[in-house]
Amino acid sequence: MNLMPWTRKITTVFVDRQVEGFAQTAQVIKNLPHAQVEKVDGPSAIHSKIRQEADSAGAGKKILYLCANKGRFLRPCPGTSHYSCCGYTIAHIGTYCPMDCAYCVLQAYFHPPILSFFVNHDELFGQLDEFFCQKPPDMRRVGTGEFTDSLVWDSISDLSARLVERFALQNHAVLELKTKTAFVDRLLGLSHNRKTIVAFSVNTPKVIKEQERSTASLAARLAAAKKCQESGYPLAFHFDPLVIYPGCEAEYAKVVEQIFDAVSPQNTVWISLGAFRCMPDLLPIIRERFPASKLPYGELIPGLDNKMRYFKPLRTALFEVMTKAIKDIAPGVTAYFCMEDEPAWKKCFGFAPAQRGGIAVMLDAAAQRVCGIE
Amino acid sequence: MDCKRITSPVERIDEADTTFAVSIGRDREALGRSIALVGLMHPPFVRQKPDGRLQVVSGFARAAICKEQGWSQIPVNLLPENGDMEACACIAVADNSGQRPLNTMEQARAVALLERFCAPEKLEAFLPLVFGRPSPISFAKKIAALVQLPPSLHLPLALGKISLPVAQRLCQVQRDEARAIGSLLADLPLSVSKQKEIFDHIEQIAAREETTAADVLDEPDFRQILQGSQSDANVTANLVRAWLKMRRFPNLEKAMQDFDKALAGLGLPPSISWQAPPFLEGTVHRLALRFENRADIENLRDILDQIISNPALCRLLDE
Repeated sequence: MNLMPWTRKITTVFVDRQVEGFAQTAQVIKNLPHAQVEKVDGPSAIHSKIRQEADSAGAGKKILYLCANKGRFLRPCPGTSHYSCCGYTIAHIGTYCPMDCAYCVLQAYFHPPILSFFVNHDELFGQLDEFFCQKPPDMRRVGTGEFTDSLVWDSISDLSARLVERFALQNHAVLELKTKTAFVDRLLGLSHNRKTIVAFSVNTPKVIKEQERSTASLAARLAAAKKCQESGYPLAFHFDPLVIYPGCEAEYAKVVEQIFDAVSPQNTVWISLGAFRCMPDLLPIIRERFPASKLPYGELIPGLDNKMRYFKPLRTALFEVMTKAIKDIAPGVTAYFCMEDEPAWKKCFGFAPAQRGGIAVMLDAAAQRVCGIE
Repeated sequence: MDCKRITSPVERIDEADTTFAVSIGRDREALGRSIALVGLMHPPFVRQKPDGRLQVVSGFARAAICKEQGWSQIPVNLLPENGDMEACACIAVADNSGQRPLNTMEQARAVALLERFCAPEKLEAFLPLVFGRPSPISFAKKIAALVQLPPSLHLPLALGKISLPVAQRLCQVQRDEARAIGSLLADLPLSVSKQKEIFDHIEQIAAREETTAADVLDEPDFRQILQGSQSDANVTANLVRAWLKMRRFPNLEKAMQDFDKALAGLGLPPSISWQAPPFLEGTVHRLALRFENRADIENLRDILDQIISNPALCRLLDE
């Protein structure tokens, strides 16, 4: 199996005794032959070990904890208060990410953050069967890329492939695999029935170079997107976070151009736009772990949800550039804001989400149009 | 340790040798008056150096005052020539902390002295004396690090003009940066939170613009504030804070100023106060109305009607 570079950095695989005999556990261990394997009773010992490290957020990327997800695999995205959210459903397959982005909220979200992969896939697929049977109308878009990168696991597990093929057998919902990698080869030959959207988190080359360690370049991501399109997959793009810096407007508009030079607007389900925002606890972590990053020194103010955000006129100005660029090049593509308020929508899109039934309805309609869900 | 009371020529005392100095930021006037009136009641502890001069272990101020008052001879407690440095350090710390609670800089000097010359268990045993309460060694070491700050900041720290949390942050930055920021803070009457705010802003502006704190503070507009003719240090402090806020958050501050101008255009009476959304995020504004009786309410209603028809309202509500 072709391994991604991050897998070579894994020094130890901790196996929770509860999942010792699971088929997925064996598969992952087999794909990490260089790593030491240790059995543990729960995560406490790993947490203590990682907490002792000076850079616990970095140390948590060098070990892998295989365990069972004891809660629901499918759960509503927590979203945020006071701002408009999209009604997404998270498929919780694991936590944290081996890539290293300065702005990554997961650094501050978990205490401490450790790379964990849930291997009780029988339960996951059981819950999916139930989900497809019940067809909850408010759960049409399911994604694995909320607490981790969707595709980083593909070099050690066949989970994405199994999910793609399971979603292909139904018409109720779409699966969104969201990534900053270009590791799509394992998806290409699969029978997906256009029920899987391969989504790329994109940014300007400057932001990728300065803030996203170990991720694929923009060119590589777009090349991967093109391959996925050629393989029949619908696509999505997430500009999140948009980072404000001198000259960013033109560079972001150019990324929009580059996207649609590479892929077709008709095959693009949605594009999300979200300006950099974070819980206040993340800022000292960025300063410590990414001393050259200027993210913490933007004009950030506490938002209504207590997350730090760019001062509103600044982010709105960038949104205006982006929405115009998207409208000009790909007018038919559904673009939306991730966690913005109604005035921002009105100013940039000319309407409030509520006027079109809400963001969830808009995105469901886009999935219906491009992916053919019911 | 045994010591011998002798009388020595004042000139024999090496005032420049501050190896054991703990005291700083003390009012010497009262001590000077006391010595002038009744003489030296507690002679300094000294140690003879190989060159024959006397190294003060404790009593720097007493020795200096006697010299200033024109004494030619001074009684001293002479410690054995070969007395170990650990014992001297202990005497220095015990003598100082036995007389009065030590200020922050004195605590730093005391711990640094003990760290330098004493075994760890001795250092630990002295901590309650230094801090006036049992204190963990980790805390003591953080305090001791303050001696590494530029000497020009030691006195402001001893006098409490620079707060401890800010002083500890100053230890983390380059020496020149620490000197620039510390000197500014020492000159302004600021609470701990305002000192932190100023520190944050300077540090963040410098980081954003890839320059140094010293360069930020050397900008002509800023120097003009410091060199201005404000007689009230509080006014200077407010101008400094406002300037730094504007440099750190130029768009936000400008928008706030514009908002205030537009609000002034409404000409609200004192009985109506308008509160904008914090940081102009969100859309909810608040009006507070003050009244005592029905007539006041009727009057307020008329004023609100005028506000609604005022074109300045559109700017305030971003309509």
